[in-house]
Amino acid sequence: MKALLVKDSMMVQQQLKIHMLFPLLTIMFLLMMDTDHLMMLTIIIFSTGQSLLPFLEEKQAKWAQYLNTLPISKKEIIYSKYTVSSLLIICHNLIMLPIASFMFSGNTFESNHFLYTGSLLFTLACCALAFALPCYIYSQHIAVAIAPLFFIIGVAKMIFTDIAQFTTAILLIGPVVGLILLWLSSFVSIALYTKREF
Amino acid sequence: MNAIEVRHLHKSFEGFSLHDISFSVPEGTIMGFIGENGAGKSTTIKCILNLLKKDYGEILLFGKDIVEHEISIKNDIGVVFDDLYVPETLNATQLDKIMKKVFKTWDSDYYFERLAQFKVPAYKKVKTLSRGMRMKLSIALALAHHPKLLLLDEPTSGLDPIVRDEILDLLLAYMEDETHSILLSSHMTSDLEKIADYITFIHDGEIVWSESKDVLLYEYGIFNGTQEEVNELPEQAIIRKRAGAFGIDVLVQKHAVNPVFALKKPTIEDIMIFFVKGEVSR
Repeated sequence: MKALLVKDSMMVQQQLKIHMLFPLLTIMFLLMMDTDHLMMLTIIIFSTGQSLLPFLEEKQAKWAQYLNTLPISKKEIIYSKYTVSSLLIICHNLIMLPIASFMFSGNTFESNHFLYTGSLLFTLACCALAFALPCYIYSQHIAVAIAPLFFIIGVAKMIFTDIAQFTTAILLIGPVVGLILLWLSSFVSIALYTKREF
Repeated sequence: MNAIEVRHLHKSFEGFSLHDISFSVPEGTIMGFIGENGAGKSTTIKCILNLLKKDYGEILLFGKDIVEHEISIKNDIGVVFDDLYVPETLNATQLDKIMKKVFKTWDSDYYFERLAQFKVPAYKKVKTLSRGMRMKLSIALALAHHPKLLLLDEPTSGLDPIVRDEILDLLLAYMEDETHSILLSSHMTSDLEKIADYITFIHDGEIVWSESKDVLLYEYGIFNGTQEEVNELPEQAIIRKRAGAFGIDVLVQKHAVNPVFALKKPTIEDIMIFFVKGEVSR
């Protein structure tokens, strides 16, 4: 797995300009938004897209075919994908956190809003990756991986119509639930990847 | 011991299947794997590497089942495809850093020596390298952990004769160690004539023959003549025949033909074409 993380860090360095573009694009979109719902959706969609970016070049280069001739287990391959995607999505959301928090709290900086937004972003990011990564590993298409997120966030919005009521719950339980979902989805991804032919 | 042993391998896709593939590559030998496009060479190699899941059959590498012992076996093999399938923004030096973490036996000195020998730039991105350079880099990557077995799928296709010759020389140098083995799939039958010990011919997903190269080249002959002359040949000697530009060409078993018939020495390509396009009947 070390080898794959080294490779991914090299690839992220090569794609640094594109990675820098994602937060900028997200901010541009946020400035055009007028509802909290769409703001969150925008951040999550862009950050998930960015987290899948290293896999695009791998796909073009047929890297998976070569990678699977090396003595690296499929489990390690999946864990490295989860690690690099998680790190990228966290970096993106850390950049977005002050801006999102500022916009959510009615253009004022308040510490509880900062924590609340951070927790919500982390939870949503974990959930988004938990769905997007298995979808990508199965389909090998970023669009197929991201499309379900619109639906999932839409449903979540319908269930939690008044998010403000759940502030404490989201702060405490949300990130844990997100991490559990992400962990469970890694098993689905390993199963899907093991079945794949190259 | 056999480096590779494939027994009754079956693999089906929509519109194509491998039927009952069986052959073996003895340790210390080079097996040439030939066949026309779409015959099943790459599919067989991918099954050997467990990149494709076999329907049934048995694949043993160094006497061990590839599915059960995948990781330990892959430590001892080097693979070269028809192109270098690594992220194209990386360069040869970065690939060295990655491979160091993959293989405990990775030999950076050997790797950079090969790059220098082939004049492959160490700091140029893979995407800027020519096809010949990419293939040389691919071979350096496959060799630098000192594998016991090399699997090469069309490594010389599309390369000029000079580069091909360099690659063949490197493969011959690799074979100086008697425990090393190679399975080399190629359209370039002339390359295989230079270096292979055995040739396996696959056609329409089935193995037509798997023979020692010397047996093929010295036991077969080509007779060219008219229909009347062909009729004089003993029936059991005729393997395949086909209409040529100047009469009928017949692939025969040399020892079964009277020396009065003038026979031409066949090439691997001749034999392959006879088996694909020739007829069995007189």
